[in-house]
Amino acid sequence: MPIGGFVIQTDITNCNNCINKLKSIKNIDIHGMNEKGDIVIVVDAPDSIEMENIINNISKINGINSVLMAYMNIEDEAESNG
Amino acid sequence: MNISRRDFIKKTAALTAASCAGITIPLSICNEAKAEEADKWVRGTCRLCGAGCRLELGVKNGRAVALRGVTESRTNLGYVCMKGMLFYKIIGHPERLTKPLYREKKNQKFKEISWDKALDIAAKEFAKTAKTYGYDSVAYYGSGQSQTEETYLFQKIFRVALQTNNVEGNPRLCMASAVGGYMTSFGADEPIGSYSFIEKATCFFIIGSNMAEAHPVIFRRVMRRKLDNPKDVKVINIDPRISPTSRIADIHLQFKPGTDLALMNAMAQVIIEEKLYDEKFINDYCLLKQQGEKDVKNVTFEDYKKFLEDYTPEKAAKICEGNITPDKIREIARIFAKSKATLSMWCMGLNQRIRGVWANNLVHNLHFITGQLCKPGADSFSMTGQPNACGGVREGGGLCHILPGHRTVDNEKMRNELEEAWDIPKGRLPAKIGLHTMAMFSAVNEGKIKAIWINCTSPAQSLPNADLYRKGLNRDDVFVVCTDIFPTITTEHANLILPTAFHFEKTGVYGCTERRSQITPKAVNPPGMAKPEVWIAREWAVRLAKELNDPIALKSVEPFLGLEDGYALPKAIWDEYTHKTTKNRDNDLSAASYEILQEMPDGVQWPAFTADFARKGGTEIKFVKGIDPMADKESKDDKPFQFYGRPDRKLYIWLRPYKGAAEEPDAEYPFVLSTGRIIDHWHTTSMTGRITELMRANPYSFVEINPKDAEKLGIKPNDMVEITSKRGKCIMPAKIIEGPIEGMVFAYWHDMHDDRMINKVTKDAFDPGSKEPEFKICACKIKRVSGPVPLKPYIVTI
Ligand code: SF4
Repeated sequence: MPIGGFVIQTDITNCNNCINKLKSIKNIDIHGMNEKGDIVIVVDAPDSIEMENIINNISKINGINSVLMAYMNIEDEAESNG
Repeated sequence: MNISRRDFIKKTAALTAASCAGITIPLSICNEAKAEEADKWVRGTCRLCGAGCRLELGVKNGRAVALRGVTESRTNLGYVCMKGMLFYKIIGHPERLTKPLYREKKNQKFKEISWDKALDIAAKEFAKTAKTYGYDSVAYYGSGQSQTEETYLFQKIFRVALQTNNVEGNPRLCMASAVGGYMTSFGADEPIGSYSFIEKATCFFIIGSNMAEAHPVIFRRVMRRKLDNPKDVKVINIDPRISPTSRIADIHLQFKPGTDLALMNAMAQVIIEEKLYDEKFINDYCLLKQQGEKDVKNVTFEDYKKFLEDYTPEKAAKICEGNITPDKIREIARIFAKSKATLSMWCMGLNQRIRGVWANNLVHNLHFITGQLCKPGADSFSMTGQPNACGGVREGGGLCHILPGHRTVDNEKMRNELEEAWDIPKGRLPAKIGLHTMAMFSAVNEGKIKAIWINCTSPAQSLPNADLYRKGLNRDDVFVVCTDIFPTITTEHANLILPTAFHFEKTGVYGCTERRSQITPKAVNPPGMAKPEVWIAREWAVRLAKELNDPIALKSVEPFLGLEDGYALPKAIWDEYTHKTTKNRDNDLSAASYEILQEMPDGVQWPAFTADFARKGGTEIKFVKGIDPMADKESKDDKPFQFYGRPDRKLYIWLRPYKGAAEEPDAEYPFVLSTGRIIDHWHTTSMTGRITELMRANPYSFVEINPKDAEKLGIKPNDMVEITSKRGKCIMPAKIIEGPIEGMVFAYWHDMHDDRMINKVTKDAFDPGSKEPEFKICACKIKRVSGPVPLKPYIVTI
C-alpha cells in the first residue's frame, strides 16, 4: 500500500475549483496550498497501480498543469515481494 | 504496516511535498525514532531522462522502501515525475537477467553458463576476429544511459587493446547534431548556461521539443515561471504538432515539418531589417562564415544581409505554411530580440534531421546577433534526451571521432596526450576515425564487422529502417555480445548475453544537460549473478590481452586490477578519467572527486578545477569572467566574455540555407511521418514496459492523425491504420486529434511489437555533418485496415 506526497501545480485562477474536484477523489488528503496555486496532497492507495490511476485522473482535471512527486513510501510492496 | 506507522508515513509524505513547494503545514511528527522509514537514504540521480533529477532511495533490510526528491538539488528542486517515481521497480524486477547466457548459433536456444566461461568466450571471439580480419572488424556500441566510468573504460579497452575507433553509442541517434551545432558555432560542446536561467528568462523559445512529456520536471519550472509572470514572460513554441508543451505558449507556430530553417532565417532577417541586433556583441565576439564548395569562407555582415533577402517573412511564410504568417514571424522575432533574457530550448525536433547541425546553428545565430547570451536567463540551451549522453558519451570519448576530455581522434597531439596519460607507447592509439553508427551497422550488414559489443541499448529497435539492420545482427558470422538488465529485441540477435547491475546496484556518475556531473552510489545488491559493467569490461580485457598476447592491451585495465567493484573500481576509473584526461580541458572535472560529488546535493558543473569551487557547485555560466574560472585562466583581453573554444576566441554566425527533408511526401506517399516520446515510456520500453503502472497507462503505440485527414480517409478513433513507407509498414490504432498539422502523422517509437515497431518505417538518411538520422521526417501513406481490434501489450522474453 504505497503512500505518496505530491505537489499539484494549478493555474491560480482555477485553484479553488481544482481543490473541490480533488476533494471528490478517494484516497487523497489535501494538506495545503500556496499563493501560487501549488497544492500539497498525500495519496494513500491500496496498490501502486491504483496510485498511478489516481495520479492520471488528477492530471486530467481542468486547471491542473502538472502533478509531480516529492515522496513515496513503498515498504509494504517491498515486504510483500519478499 | 500498522495504523500509527501509516499515519507517520503520511505525515512525512505531506511534509516532504510541502517543503518542495515552500508551503508550511501544521503537522508534527511524533514517535520518529520508532517509526524510522529507512535504514539509510542513498542520494542519486533518476535513471531515465536527461533532466538529471536528484532523488534519494530509502533502503531497509537491503531493499528499496521509499523514494524522495532532493529539495536542495538545483536540477529538480525536489520534484520527480511519474516515470522517475516508478523506476525503482526495475530494482529486483522478476524478469531481470541474472545469469550469463550463450549460444553458438543464432537459431539455437540460450544456455546458462558461468562468468568465467562467458568472459573466456567473449575474449576469444574478439581476439580471433581482430587477428583474422584486422582491428577494424570489431566494434563497441554503447549508450547515453551507461555511467561515465563504463563508457570511459569500454572506449579505452577498444582503443588501447583492440586499436580501433569503432566506438559508438546511441547518442549518435539523439545528440550528435547538437554537438555539431555547438562545435561549429561556439567551437566548444555543450550548453553555456544552466537550468537556473529558467527563473530569470523573460522569453522562452521552445522549438522541436515536447518538454512537457520528455522532460516533465524541467517543464514544470518553465511553467512556474510563466504562471508567476503571465504578462512579463512570453513562451513561443515552434512545432508542427500541438503537444502538451504548446499548452502554455503565448504563441504556437505550427508549420510544414522540416521548414523551420527558413523560419529561423526569417527571424534573423527581421531582427537585422528592424535594427534589433546587438552590433557591439557581434563586433566584439562574432565572425560570419559560409560553407563554400570546398572550404569555409569568411563573409561580411552585408553578405549576411543579402543572404537573408531570400528569407523575408513573406517568402518564409510561403515555405513554412501552416499558421505561419509574415506578421507572426515579425512578432516572434521582435519578442526574441527585445526580451530582457531569451532562453531557447530544443531537443530531438531539431537534432534528428537531415540538416540537424544547420538547424542548431540557426538557433545559435539568433542568440549571437541579439547578444542573448552569457547573461542570466539568456542562452541557447539544447536539452539532452538521455541521462548520460553528455557526461558519458560526449565528454568521455564514446563516439568514433572523439576521445575523452573533448579531444578529437584526428588530432595527433591529443592522441599523444592520452597515450602519455595511459602509459602506452606513442602512436599506439589509432589515427583513423571509426565508423559512425549508421556506417557501423551497415558494416555489420556487409559482414565487415564480425564482432560487436552492444551495451545498455537496443539498436535492433532504435535504429531507423530497423529491419534492414536486424538482418546484419542476425548473421551467423557476426558475433554479438549484449550487456543488459532485461531481454530486448537486440538480445534476440545475440550470441552472448551478460546480465548487468542496474542503477543504485552499482556506483557511477551521470552528467546531465547542464554540464552537471552527479554520482549515484550503490545502495542495494544486484540480483543473481548480475555484475556492474566496469567489472565485466575489466575481467574481459584481462582475458583479451592474454588472447592477443599483447602486454600493451593489458594497460587498458592495469590501474584497476583487483579493485572491489561496488565502489573502489568505479572510483579509480573516475579518478583516472577526471585527473588524467579532463584536467586543463574545457570540461575540467579534476576537482569533482567522488567525495565532493557525494557531499553535494546536486553534483558539480564543469569546468571545476579547485575543490573549493567544486564545493560551490562549479560553473553556472561558461565563458563569463568572474563566473567561469576557465574564462579567467584563458582570458586574452579585457572583454567580459572569453569564448575559449577555439584559438580565435570567436563565435561563428553561419549562413545556412533552408533545405528540406531527405524524403518529402509525394503522390504515392503523401504524408509526413514523425516519431517521438510519450510521457509514460522510456525508449524501447525494455524497462518502462515492465512497470505495470506505466504499461497500463499506455499499453501500445497509436498513430495521431489530424481530424481533417481522418475524415478524408474515413478513419475513426481506434480504427486500425496501416502506416507504410518505402522501407516497411506498421499497423496500429488511430488517435484522431488536433495534434499533428494536416498532412502529418505522429507515432510513438516505444512499442516492441513487430506490428507496431515504427522504426521499421522511419528513414535511415542522416545529417552529412553529425551523421544523426532523420527520425523526425519521412514520407508515408496511411490507410484504414479495420475497425478497432483488441491489442495486447508486448515485451520480449528469453
Ligand atoms: S524529468 Fe526525467 S530525470 Fe526527472 S524524474 Fe522525470 S524521468 Fe527522471
